[in-house]
Amino acid sequence: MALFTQIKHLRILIVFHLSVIIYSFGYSQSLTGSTGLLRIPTANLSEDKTLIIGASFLNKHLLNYSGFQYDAIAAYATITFLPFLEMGIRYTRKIDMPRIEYETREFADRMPSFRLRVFKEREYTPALALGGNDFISSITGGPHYFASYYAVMTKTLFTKNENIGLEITLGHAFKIGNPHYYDLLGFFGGIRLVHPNYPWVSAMIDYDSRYWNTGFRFFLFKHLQIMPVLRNGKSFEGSLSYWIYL
Amino acid sequence: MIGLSDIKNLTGFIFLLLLCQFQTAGAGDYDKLSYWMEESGFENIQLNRSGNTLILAYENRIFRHEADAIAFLLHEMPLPESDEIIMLPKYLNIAMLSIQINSINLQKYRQGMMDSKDFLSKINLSQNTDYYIQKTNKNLTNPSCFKTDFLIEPMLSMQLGNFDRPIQALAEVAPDIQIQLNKGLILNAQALIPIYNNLKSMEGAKVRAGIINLSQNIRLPDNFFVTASIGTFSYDRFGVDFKTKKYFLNGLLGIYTQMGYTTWTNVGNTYEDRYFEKDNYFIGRLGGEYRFAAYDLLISASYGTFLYQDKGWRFDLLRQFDDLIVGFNGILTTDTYNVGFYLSIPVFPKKYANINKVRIRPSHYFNWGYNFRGQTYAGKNYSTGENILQKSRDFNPYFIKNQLIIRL
Repeated sequence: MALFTQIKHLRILIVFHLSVIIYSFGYSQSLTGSTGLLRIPTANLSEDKTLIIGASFLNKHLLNYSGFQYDAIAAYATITFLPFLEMGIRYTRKIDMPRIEYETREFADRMPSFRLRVFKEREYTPALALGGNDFISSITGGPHYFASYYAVMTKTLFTKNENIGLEITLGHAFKIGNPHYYDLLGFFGGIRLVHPNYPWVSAMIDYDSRYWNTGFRFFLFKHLQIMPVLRNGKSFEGSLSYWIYL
Repeated sequence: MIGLSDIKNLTGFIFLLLLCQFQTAGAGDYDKLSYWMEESGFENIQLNRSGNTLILAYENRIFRHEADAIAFLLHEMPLPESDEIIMLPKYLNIAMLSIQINSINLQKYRQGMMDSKDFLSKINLSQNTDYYIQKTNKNLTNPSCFKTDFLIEPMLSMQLGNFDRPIQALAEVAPDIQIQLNKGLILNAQALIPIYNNLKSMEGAKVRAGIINLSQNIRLPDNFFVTASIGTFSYDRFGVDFKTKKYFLNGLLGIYTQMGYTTWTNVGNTYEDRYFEKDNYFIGRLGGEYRFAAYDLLISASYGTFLYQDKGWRFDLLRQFDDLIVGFNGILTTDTYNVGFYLSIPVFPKKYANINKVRIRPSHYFNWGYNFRGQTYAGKNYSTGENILQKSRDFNPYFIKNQLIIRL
């Protein structure tokens, strides 16, 4: 049923004429800290040697990590370490918690992540990437609240008159290990719309294997990204990130 | 009457006179260049001519990045008459790299008749300096010996903790005196001064000694580097350490070893001092590394004994982003495993003042690392401070060429 709903939402694509132009209007940084749409990763990577430092606000209503009781701030740094490899580290901390003593050992969450681009986007074929979040905890058996292991494809298309660019992403997240919680599990996908003349603003919608999310990305002064997101139609989240070109 | 023989003698005399004048003019050019190099702040300068080749060996202690110094020289240095220029950048008065430049191409590049890409393609960079070292002038201009560098290095120890102290940190400054005593011989004396401390495991940390040692760095023929150190190292160790590294394929492939015997010392006061054993330990490691020149990427693996006698592997994936270094490491020992990352962030400024006798400057880099398992004895290794093996990475011919592409 869920798959049927997803396909229904993607039917909008049919109205677009597939163009063979490969065009990059910059990639966005998702709430999770890796290059992606709003909540999902894409198969594209930022330019080689791009370092992105940012923070996301995560709403408690959709946050399993905090038992749906506390909002959280996720600070992250992500680097395009090689043209085909992105590495990241995220530190997520619940906010507005009552004071917890040392003995309770309530630790914040550390989440390393990677994305490996297997195929680059070409005229008729999408980019393909493999990725994982929180993969170290699954090896060491530690806290593991944001696990996801996925394969994802991304293709950029244009409308017939080339007035609107589309970045379409489809992916699937797999069960690996025995984490507390899978951040992504099963099918996910999304679309980003950009007017080529105004690449600093884009509108996005994605399905993160649980919820539908909508939002905008504003990219200002070639360095600053602001991304307000409405998740599941009612919960606000957002992120702020700064891009450094090494 | 002037006879034919007199004309011949006169012609010979004029020729000799012209030759002498030419040579004098050449020597003048060389003196001018030597003076200019000294005025610009370069040290351990050796300048001479071999045939029609100018051999210029120098040590840069004014630019943070070696490629900046090379680019500066290519753009600015006065050019004496020669067909070819060989530049030999040094570290501790030891030549690390040879750069072969055609003088006409350099003139053309300077006059805008040749673009930088074309010019760079005609420069030959080699890690091997053996041939030219034999031909360098033995006289040293502006020697570095006993010139004192007083470094201020920022240091940070950090732990992501529980909610009563979610981020624990010990921020320190580490003043470090470095004196070059002889060719390759350097004295380090470092102190650690806490500035901010809420790191639970280091509560009450006071001003204390850091790395205090004497290191002899040697370059042997065929790209073989050696460092021997005696004194105190990090992790409160006192003893001797011996490292070697041999390069192949013009610096793309390297094999390295480390041997050391240390005991605990109480001159410092670190986390390990408080929590780990204080026995005498032998350390022995063997490793190899390969450089993917297109990305300035180094991949390395080593096996052997770590500081606290656990045996195992260490893997590193390191990329040099211009001045910034980002690396990831993995430890796999008989007892446990660990992963982490480290950064070497350049510290402002890019250029320093010349050293007269004493100079105060910030350290080149702020180094910081993070391991996912912080409170473990496993996979530790002490640091002996900067050495020729580590510096050889900054002088790698492929890395320097990639950096010159950006700078020229």
